[in-house]
Amino acid sequence: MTRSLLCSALGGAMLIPACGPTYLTFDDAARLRIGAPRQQVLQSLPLRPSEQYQLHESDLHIDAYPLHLVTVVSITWVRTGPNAAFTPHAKEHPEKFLLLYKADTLRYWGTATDFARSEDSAITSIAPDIHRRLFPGKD
Amino acid sequence: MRTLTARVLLLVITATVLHGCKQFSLADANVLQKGMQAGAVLAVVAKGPQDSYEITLPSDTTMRFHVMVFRMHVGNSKGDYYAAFRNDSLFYWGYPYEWNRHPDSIIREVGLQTTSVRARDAGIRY
Repeated sequence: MTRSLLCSALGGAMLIPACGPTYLTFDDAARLRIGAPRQQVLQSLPLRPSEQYQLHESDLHIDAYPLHLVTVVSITWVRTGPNAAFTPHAKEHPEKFLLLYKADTLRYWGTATDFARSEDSAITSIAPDIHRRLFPGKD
Repeated sequence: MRTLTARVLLLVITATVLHGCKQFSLADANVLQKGMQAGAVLAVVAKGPQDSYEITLPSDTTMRFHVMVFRMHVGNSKGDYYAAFRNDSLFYWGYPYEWNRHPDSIIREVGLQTTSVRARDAGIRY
């Protein structure tokens, strides 16, 4: 009895981390402040970055998060054998939300479009580099 | 008579359901223009603000703003969206994260102050 209770509790505890958020929301992004240290930002957000990039300048660093916005799902029909029926395979393409750090201090954030249309010329100048990293081969 | 009552009832239910389906979306944000009066904004958006605040800037107490907080619906996501008026003239609008990163220090301060007042008054924490 005690063993089964213990097993259930352990099983539950192992499941909890898997139930955490898998996407960043715009309300999460409202916590971001210019000049915040990277460590503080990592602690304030509910998930870890899914990708990281070092930009051409050595002290510029990007953390990318999947953004809960419109999840585009592309469906391809795959036939698994000569007599098998075609079955749909869905693939999600979530939007990415990017945080730019300069020397480990938060400098700017947003989607790739936000970088390209920024009012700050220092940000728009690195937008093509970000675009190349996010969408390789789409120049 | 009974049929007429049933029809009227159905119409009222349909109208209520349709009204409940109205949402503030990017289509609403896209029609906003700098300088619009608050009444004009309310007249063009599909759904009015969830909350409104009178904000005074700590750095300059003569600067006062009326801020409407809409609930933006995009695809399957929802988020707060601020529209601020100064002297009944639309000054700036966007998601809180857009206010926080803006190069203009006044826009940043209005956004942060709204978020702070909202956390205090409505218990909403980001």
